[in-house]
Amino acid sequence: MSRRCAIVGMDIIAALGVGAEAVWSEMMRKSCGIRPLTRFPRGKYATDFAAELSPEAEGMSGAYALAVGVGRRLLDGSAGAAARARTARTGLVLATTKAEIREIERLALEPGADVTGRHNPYVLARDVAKELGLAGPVMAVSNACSSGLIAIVQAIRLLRRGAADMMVVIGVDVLADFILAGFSALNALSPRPCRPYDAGRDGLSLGEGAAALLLTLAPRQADVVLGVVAGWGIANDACHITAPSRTGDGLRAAVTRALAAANLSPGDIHYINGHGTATLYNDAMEAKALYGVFGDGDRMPPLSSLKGYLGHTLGAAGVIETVLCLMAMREKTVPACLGLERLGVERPLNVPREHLPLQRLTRVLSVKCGFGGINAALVLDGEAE
Amino acid sequence: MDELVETLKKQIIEALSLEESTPDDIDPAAALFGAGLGLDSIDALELVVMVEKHYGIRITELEIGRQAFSSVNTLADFIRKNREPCGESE
Amino acid sequence: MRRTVITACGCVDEGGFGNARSWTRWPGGVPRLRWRMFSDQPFDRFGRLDLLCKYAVAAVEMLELPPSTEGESRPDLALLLGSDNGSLDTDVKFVRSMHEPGGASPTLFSYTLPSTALGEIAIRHHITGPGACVMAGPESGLLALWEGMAWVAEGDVGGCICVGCDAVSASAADAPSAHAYAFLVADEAAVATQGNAPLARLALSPAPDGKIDQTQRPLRQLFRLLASGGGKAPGAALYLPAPATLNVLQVMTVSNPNGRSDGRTG
Repeated sequence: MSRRCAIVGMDIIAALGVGAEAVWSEMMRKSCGIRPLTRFPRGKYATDFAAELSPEAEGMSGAYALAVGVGRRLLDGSAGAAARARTARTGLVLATTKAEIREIERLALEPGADVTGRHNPYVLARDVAKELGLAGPVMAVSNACSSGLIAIVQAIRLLRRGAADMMVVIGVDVLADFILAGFSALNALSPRPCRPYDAGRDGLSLGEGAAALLLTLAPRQADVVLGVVAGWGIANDACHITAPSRTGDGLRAAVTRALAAANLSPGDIHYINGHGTATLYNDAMEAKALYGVFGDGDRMPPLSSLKGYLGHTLGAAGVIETVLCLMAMREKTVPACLGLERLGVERPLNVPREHLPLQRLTRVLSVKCGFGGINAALVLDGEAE
Repeated sequence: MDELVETLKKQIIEALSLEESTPDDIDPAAALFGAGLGLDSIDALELVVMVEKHYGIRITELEIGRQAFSSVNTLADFIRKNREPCGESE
Repeated sequence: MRRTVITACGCVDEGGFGNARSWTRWPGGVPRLRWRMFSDQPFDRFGRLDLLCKYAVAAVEMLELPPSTEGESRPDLALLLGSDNGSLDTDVKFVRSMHEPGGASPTLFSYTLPSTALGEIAIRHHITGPGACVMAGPESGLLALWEGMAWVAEGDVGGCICVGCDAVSASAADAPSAHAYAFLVADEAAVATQGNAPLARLALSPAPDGKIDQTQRPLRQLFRLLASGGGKAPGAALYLPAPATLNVLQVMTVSNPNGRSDGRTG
């Protein structure tokens, strides 16, 4: 059984549309999904902008509906692999920071209110798995902004142990007053659409959405293998509960571990999907960490953050952005770092402001950094073994 | 004795959950951040909330906050200069 | 697959707190936790931690990890937290703070993520290895132990601190609870070279044909077994069925670390 895990299905629902093709095509038009608030009051929070779900996602209100929606699309769309998923031992790992957050808001203000219980990430995961007909192992992973990548890793662990034959990974988080108020209180929001790695960056833009992946260690001939997880690395900064370490050592360690696990050197990577939240400190730290691994400006692979298109989708980001990395490999195009005008980080990173077609785009590194100092890195490989 | 300074010490201890400190432990002239009480960036933001809650003063500029929070004495001066005539919670 | 052992345990629950070396009963009901109950080393931050973090950090303190300085980090030590209710207690407090004069509390917001507890533990003990916060209902803590054992057995890390922690006050939930159990799972061979005496050995076996009931409060049972020295008794001391949500027919056996009936090592 391969150490490398194949991804045989993917889907996404976010600010720029429903479905991987739709979202990617909007990204190629450089559409910005970060728009004036419609579901939340303007003038109340530190920003009037966020990447709310697109109108096509109407009817999928809340984390449960969104997770089930993207899960159904995944299992309907993966042809042979999906058919196997519904009958085989298939489990679910759900990545989320706040699950059905509107229920927390209700419980806090009306004790004894009638709620589904899906404010609890595991209850949400269990209910989603049941609705999708998944009878294998189920768990939720809640690791702040690194939840998505860590959930993918957990799913692969379960496959390797033989606890399941296939695993679905779903990442989901939705906007709420809770989130807007909290990030406002932390002074972390940009009043405008965010500008990752930019000299004038002034904070993040929030987003919402869900994405799903179908994983297996033993893909069949007829399966479409979108990519392979070739390695991962996870490391803690051990520094501060919300601010990233100034040195970037934790992220650097995660990336180094991921490359080693994938048996690759830095020069083998064709594209880096950064975390790039556009806060002053995150992007500065990331620049140090990545430059520390990849070396001088001429040889650095292109790096872009996708937060300028879809906002920061929190617990869902790791899964949403992995889907977009798979699209990038398929289309052999590095997506531009939307929002960047003038590079303003302490190291000479190679961040394209226009979409960059490549002759070869088969090895992608994706990184995420979460509150609590947890850093995760994933290496994706687009080539068959 | 400066009543505002003594009140502020109690409010800081409460707002930042400094359970092991008493008002007597806090030197009103000493630095609050860095070496002093060892407060950090989140504590600074929490003090902004505290000041608005008790004194109705909204600190919107980082630099104003930084200077006001140098020590309990500077915070007391800042509040005296900026607070609204009514609405204080003393 | 490596053989794994438990080398330390810690507990803070409704009965009291302690580890394999000592146990302190609460004299009355459960008090508000103060740092000086658990350590005479300074830790000014403790008061600021939320309930979940206080319980988790205190239970890990009971493990009596060797002290490390800021310059030395522990990259080969992982951290796993399993929690049923996660940050619910603070989530509710945060929502209420949103409606108070002065506005939402940034400190409370930092604790509206259960993974912040992992951050607090990592910072305190300079742990720079991998980590995860897993949620699987009431068996979350058991799942954290299960995963931790697997990470060590699979060779990913040399050791893993597994914490099962749940802390919700009456203001946030109909059924308040507060308990934390911490276990240090390590690679048996590495422990042996360090000359330490483990408390028990862990192993996985297929579930026996007869049904084994899901254990009530499995981590509490495990802690009590280890704290009383029962892990060194001859034979298998405790069978823990896999968390139901994993859907695997396996049990974790907790037994004498060296298979000898007298419990001595070496």
